[in-house]
Amino acid sequence: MERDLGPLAKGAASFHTTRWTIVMRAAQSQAPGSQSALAQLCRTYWYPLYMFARRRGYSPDDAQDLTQGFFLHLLEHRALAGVDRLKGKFRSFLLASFQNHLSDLVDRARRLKRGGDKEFVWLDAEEAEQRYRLEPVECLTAEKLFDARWAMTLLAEVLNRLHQKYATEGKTSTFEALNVFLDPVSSTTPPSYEEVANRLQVSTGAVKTLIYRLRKQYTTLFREEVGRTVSDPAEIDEEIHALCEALIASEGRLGP
Amino acid sequence: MSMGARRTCPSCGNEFFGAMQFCPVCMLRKGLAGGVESGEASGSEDTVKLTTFEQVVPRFEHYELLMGQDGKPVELGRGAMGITYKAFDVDLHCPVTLKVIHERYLGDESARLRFLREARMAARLRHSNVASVLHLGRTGNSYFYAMEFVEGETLENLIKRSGRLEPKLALEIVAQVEAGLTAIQKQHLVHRDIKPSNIMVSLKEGKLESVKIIDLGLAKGVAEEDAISSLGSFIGTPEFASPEQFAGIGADIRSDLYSLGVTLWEMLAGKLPFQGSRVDLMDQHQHARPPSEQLKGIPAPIAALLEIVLAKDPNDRFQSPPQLQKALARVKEAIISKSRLSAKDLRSDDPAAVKGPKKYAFRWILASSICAAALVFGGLFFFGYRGSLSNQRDAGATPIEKALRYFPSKTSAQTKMTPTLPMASKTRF
Repeated sequence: MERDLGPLAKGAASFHTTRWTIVMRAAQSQAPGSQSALAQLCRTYWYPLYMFARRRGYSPDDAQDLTQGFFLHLLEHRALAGVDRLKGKFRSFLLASFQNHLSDLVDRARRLKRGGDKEFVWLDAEEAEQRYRLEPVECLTAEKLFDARWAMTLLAEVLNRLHQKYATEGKTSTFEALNVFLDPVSSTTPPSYEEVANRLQVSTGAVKTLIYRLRKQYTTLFREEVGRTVSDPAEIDEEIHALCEALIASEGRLGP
Repeated sequence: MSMGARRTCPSCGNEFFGAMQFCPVCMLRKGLAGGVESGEASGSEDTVKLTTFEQVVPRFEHYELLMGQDGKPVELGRGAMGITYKAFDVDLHCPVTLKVIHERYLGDESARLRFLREARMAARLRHSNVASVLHLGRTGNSYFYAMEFVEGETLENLIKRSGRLEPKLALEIVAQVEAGLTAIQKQHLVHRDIKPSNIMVSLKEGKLESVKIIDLGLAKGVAEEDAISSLGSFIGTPEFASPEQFAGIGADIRSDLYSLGVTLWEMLAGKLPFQGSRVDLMDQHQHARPPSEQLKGIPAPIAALLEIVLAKDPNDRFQSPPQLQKALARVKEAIISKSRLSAKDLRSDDPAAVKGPKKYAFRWILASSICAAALVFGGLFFFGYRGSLSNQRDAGATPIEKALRYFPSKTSAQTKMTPTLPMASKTRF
């Protein structure tokens, strides 16, 4: 079960591939490293929430404050102590909690600057607003937009991690030459194996092996990342299907 | 971003933002369990296989089987005819249950016909308490049909988890199964395999959300001759089968009500009324009284209801699901008002037959006295010493035990059935 918190003491790095429910419970118990692990999880997926708030009609400043304030609320131990039944998808949990948070604020004082000088999750408001202006907000509901953007965020996170992994191993050029083969059918101009072999100074057989490894690593990282956002590994495929559905519903309107 | 910048993915057909390097939907799908590259890659050009998701995940037309952590399809159950999987409708983007005919029947024409009949039979039903069949298809020489995916768990699992169910919950489940059986009866069908593993229940915070009958694999038309199975052979699950099912003679909706009664018993007692080998089960379902001691603590009106639904003679049971529905309402009312309700009361159509405690007490004493006198005299007259032994046994029995002792030990219907019992074949097919 998820009660084994043994590795938590090793710090945030231990949480990188850990399910969100475990991270949350660890944060509840104030385990070392859990706070930054939770902050890292929130940092990855904050933009869909910002976009949701904007789509709901909040101004850029308010949306920024609300998102930041929500994460502060979430990261405070006292707020987490009330969360006694953690299960399901992180995506659904986050959106439902955010919606509750918005309702609570409406009931209390709106436009209250949240968080003061504490900044657990760094939000680049300017970049967020630039991105938001490009979103097809008129075509989709806030919820659909949130889900589709979540899918794109997750995909970008996985590709980023894959890139970083190759960079750490000193294989940036290999990644750049081969990443088009992650989805060669959709790519407009996939190069031939021979072209890539010449570029990397290896045989075409070696290119195929490298592509095979790249795809395998992608799939592993992808499932790892989705696995962080569900409470049970058995839900990974279901979540992937749900994300596909969200993207299809956006009818290709969302950019990278 | 201009709308004109979109592209259509040549692989999945979905649109995506034109400036993107990849189709995001395809990229997500590559993360599915079946998308993990398998096999060892070597440097040899000939030995490297770059498998794709589409090649790895089993697909039946536009249904993709969902893969589990072990890389195998998620299996929901196995029946006599086929295997059911959890799948995904890639056109409608919703989960479905896919039943695929078992490989061993691929070349078997009668099995194929039976499978098609099952799908067509189920497709006739559209009711919120019966899982709907959506599509019948063929891939190669294999047949499959898609059903709505029902959230929740089987009643069998729920009983295993809970031991005994609360009477209120058990009655609610029975009421919903009854509604499904009403729909089945309207189509002039008999399910013939009502049991906890064929009932899906969905609970939310302990409250019942939905109940659905699944797997109409053994269903048949009431007037339909079972040409596919040999005449007189047993069809059903022995633990839940009615006496007439064991007899291999025409079972109608009352047989399903009997099986529902056994299901109710298991929900309340946490165990089956009859257990043992198939021969033992046949004998017990046809002749034995259900073990009343298993129902200690269960409200007496429910015991009265069970007395009727588990009657050996179909004529002594409720004759239709709506009759059971009415009886259920009266049982609930009697439990709430703490009134007495006997099987005789339930058999009568008069709701006023539910008696208040005081009024009932008087009538009960009177009726009991008359019955006791009749039993004593009748017993002495017909059975001599056996009768007196029976009365001695009743003296220490609980009211429920007393009520359940009125279950007939042998019926006229059985007497008629017994000579026709062809139990050579006791398997499902």
